[in-house]
Amino acid sequence: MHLNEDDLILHYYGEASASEARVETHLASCETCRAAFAALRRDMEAFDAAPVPEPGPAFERTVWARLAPQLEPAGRATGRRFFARFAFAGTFAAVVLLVGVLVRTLPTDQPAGTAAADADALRERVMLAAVSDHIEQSEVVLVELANASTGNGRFDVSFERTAADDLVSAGRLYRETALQTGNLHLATLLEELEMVLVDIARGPEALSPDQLDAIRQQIETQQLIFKLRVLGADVKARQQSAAADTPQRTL
Amino acid sequence: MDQMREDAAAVALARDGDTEAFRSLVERHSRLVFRVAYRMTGNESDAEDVVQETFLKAYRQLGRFESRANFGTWVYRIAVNCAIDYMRAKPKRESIEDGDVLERMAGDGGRPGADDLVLAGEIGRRVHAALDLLSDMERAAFVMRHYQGFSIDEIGRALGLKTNATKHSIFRAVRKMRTALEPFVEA
Repeated sequence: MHLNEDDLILHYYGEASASEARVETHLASCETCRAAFAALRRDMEAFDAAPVPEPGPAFERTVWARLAPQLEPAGRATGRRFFARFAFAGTFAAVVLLVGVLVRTLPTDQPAGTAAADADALRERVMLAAVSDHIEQSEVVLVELANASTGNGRFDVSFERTAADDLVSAGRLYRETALQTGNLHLATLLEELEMVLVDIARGPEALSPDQLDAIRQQIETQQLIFKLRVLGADVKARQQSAAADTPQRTL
Repeated sequence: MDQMREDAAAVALARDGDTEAFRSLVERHSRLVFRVAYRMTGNESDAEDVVQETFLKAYRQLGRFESRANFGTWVYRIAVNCAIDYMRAKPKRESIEDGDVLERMAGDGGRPGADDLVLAGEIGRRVHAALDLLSDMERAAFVMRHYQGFSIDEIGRALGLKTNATKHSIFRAVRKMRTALEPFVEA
């Protein structure tokens, strides 16, 4: 039986691992597969022909000049961002409530349907901004755990644990709002995310390799990081669309 | 002192607020990050934006960097993820550029002659067009494996994929690339 293209690709990249000896032996004795591998190698080498332009000599200085004004002391950044997020979550809740109250109580010259539509649009924009930040922070926590290395000891997750605990509270608020606004896809993903975050938040501050693997499995099985990235991109696109569509009217 | 140790020392200083130390990391790694970003986005302007976003995220996450790890590998991983986010957030290019690349490539005169193929940059241009045919995940996995030399396990960890899913992303990417370039690579 001949080697398939997947075997040859893994062999080309030196990733055939356990089956490497079998592939080598087969290639040595099979002209058809040797030809297929030669064709693959030729194509792979052609992929290398795509050049990458070399940035000019001032590239590093330019990067730094744009970057430096955006930096704040690294040690304080995380705490500040988390504080800012929860301040924002509070603001989000207040604005959502305020919008609801105003729609119901304020006299207006606009037809009731228009005022309600504006309020919905505003609520949508506020929610999107809040959820975008929530997704980004959740992704940071999950990626850190997915990439964590325990070595032979335990992995300190006290930061992720605290962050997860806070994210659970904020996430519930967003999930309820998503349900109220009929965004079932968002609500479902936030629920899946919440289950993992709850496990992290309720777990120990230092994880054994087995405990860390269990959390990784949970993240991987549900493809949460990938789903969060897709959702994050969708939310950003909807933010742009909502900003373009919403009438600039004050309540 | 080798670069890994220099990087580790710079990270330690940058964590304490030393922005000049972080600047040294940016200067050492920004060209390589640019190459990853360019492979992922396919144009210089987008790649430069990704470089900015990558180092901004890296700075904000310095507290999570493990001192024994390789800063270069860590920051490239961030770069790939930033590039994925960037491409997803950016409005898709016109459908003709996404959907009809193969037709346009094949329609450029059918199978080109030897003279065409030896033209400098010709195959390179085709490779860039073929990369545009890949999904974001396929492109990320392929760029990390083929151009940056990451192992499949490293790629899986960076992209949040299982080993098999990572392999299949790479397999699909290679198949699509080969199919797209078949008319232009001489047997």
